[in-house]
Amino acid sequence: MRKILGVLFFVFCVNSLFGQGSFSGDLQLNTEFYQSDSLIGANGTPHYDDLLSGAYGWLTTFYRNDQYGIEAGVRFDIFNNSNLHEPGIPYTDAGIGRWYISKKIDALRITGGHIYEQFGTGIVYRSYEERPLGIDNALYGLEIEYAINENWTVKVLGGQMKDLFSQFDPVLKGGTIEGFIPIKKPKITLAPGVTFINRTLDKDNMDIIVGQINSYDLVDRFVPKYNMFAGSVFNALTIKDVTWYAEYAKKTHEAINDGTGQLVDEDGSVIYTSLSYSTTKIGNGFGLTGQLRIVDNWVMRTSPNETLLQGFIDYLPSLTKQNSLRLTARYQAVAQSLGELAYQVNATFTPKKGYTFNANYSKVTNDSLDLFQEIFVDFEMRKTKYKLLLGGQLINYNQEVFENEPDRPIVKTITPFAELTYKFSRKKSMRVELQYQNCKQDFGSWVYGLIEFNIAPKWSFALSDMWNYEPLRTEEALHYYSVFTGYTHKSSRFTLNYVKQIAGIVCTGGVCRYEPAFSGLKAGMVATF
Amino acid sequence: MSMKPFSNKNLMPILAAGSLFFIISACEEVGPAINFTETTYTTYIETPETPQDKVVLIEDFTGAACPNCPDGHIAVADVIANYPNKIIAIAEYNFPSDPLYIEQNMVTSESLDLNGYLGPVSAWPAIFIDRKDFGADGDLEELPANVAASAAEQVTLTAPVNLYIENTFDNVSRTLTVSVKVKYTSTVILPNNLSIVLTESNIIAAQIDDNAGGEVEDYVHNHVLRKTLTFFSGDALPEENVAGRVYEFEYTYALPANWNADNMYAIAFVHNFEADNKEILQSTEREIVD
Repeated sequence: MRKILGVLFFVFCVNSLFGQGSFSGDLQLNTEFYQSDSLIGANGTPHYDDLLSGAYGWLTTFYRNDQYGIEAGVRFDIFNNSNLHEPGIPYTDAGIGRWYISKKIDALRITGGHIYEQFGTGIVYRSYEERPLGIDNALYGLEIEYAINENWTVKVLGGQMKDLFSQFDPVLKGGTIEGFIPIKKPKITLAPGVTFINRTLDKDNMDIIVGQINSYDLVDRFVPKYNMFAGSVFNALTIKDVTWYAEYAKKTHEAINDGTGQLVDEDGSVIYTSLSYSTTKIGNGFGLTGQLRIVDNWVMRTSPNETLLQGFIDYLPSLTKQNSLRLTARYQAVAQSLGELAYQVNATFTPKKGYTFNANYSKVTNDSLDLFQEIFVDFEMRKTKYKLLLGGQLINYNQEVFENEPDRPIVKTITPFAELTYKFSRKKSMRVELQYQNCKQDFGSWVYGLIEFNIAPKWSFALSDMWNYEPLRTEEALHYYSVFTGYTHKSSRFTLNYVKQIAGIVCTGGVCRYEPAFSGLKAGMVATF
Repeated sequence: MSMKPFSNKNLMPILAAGSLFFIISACEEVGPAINFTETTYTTYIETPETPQDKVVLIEDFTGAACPNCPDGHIAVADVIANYPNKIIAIAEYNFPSDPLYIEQNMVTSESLDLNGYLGPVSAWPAIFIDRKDFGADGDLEELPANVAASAAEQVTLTAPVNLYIENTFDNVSRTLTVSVKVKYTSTVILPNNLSIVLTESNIIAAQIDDNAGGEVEDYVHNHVLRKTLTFFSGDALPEENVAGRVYEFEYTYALPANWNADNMYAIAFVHNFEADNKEILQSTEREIVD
């Protein structure tokens, strides 16, 4: 590691002296102070019982010199009794969480180190970072990118997926060819691509798999594969205002976890397509989008021995609408990699400037079950002084499947909501949210209110409460409130948030995980330079 | 008519497609060994017995073409002599250059599989004492020089499982029946397997021996692994292995004509069966012909 830092230091210094490079970076720091609250289930873990606090942060620095085609970066990660990666299990370590160096030589770019990359839509391969969920799936290896011409690019890479400060043992290699074909008359564009990935298991992981398979009944045993091959073919066709995207991905058979802990030998596939139409000729703008995805045993991990969000090499986000309001986002359809048929239709219509209607319908099923259904409508009105959002949502949610809670009925919710943002002056504004969720299952019905006051560009204050006013899981009608203050100074932002947060599925960028309840104070800082 | 020069821009997709074809065409792999044989057993609970003293199993990865391997044979013979009835040995011939001569038949598929399972090792001889990681370095194998000390450590232990073995051999049909009883004297949480191995000693065959300055034509090969009656990595002891748990197994095998039953042993051992813990808990052996 010292040698790596030495090389990067050399690159930074030499190019800073002789080149025209730029140096930039940022710091993101979060500290959590835990206050036990047995009523909401925020207790009984080392954080609440003994540790009382935890922190995690990332200090990122980049150097870029276009003159010499050089780019380099180092990121220092720190986790002190962190609750980030596996909520409830403290994790402490610090060190270089990412380093990379990249050099462009004419049409060729070579990158070594920790690499974030995506092939196509990421169905076959995506190495990425999603800090709120503790995901850092960088590839530790080498990537070569070659621009064949201005429209066609080839990328090949190889290495191992990052696992905190080390790597998962299996090896990955792959490549993609992606292009763009413009046809002038009629105005058509094509954006085709082909992607390929090969993952090879290591002996230790295979030993675990073999041990497991040899313990099964004879009929369930199979010879597992070291190598998994996956690939996809995709294309985006655009004809005037219509864009049609289609992708078919296929993987060879390998040992995958069937969701009950049993290994099965299955191949997999994904069909994904979307059709969108967007025009300004209808009213002040009209858009219609439909998406369909059929998933069959698409489990893409470094090995079947990894669980939760560990060791993913693909990106299979929820296909349904990603809601941001507190109660409308309470029940979300986590992508079912073992099998799902998911589709959604979204329409947006702006009859005249300042008035927008939005409607969305989505549904997720698997072979035998309805998993999720959402009907969502909202109306937004923008005026000089205020912005008003009104809407409603109906959801059917299969809690048994999504949260692995046996014998739970389908959760059915009706959630009307309103949001008003009012500007008192150029600097001062206020935002109010009101949401109500009617639910006869799970925790019961909720009311949520938020009032936020902003003094631009420095101060932000917010008070909110999520009230379980018709509780089904607790004796009392509990309040999950939050008191928030944010302060911005130039390019730095500091936040303090006293939070009571209910347990549930938390999603970021369509990727979700279960998080236990939280009670305590969260302090945050983000600074860029 | 002049031909259009072939540009390297055209070459790239062809190379990429060619590489892809090559990678996909190399898809076939042998894969790891999986036990597809049905194992039957009888199991019940009885009052736990008094634990037996530990009998140590030493496995010697060796080879007739391996010049240093006689050092391993000597180290194993020494500890057997020093701890009578407390040490059992198996010589597993899996040196890459073996067999030394094509007529030698000491390399078995099980020996090769065991190298993949316990190693793979990069140097021979490699000696495993109860498949225990004495150096806590992740490697189970030891050098011949370390065998005595490691064996001395192991023989002082008592076993959490008692083992009994009985052999019946029909001289005419050359059918061997091995009966094994596994009796837990204390509860074991980790998954366990039972392995049963046939060995043959006093095989006279050539050996490259650095100590003798080259090839020895009439070298005496002892404890040579001939056959595992269970799967090479053992058959599962799948019940809850509490104190008092008893398993009864019976295996039948017809010995090939060129194996000398008078020089053969049946060895049974119970071992942990996890990727990072393969330690042998107890071993026992019995001559095939008493």
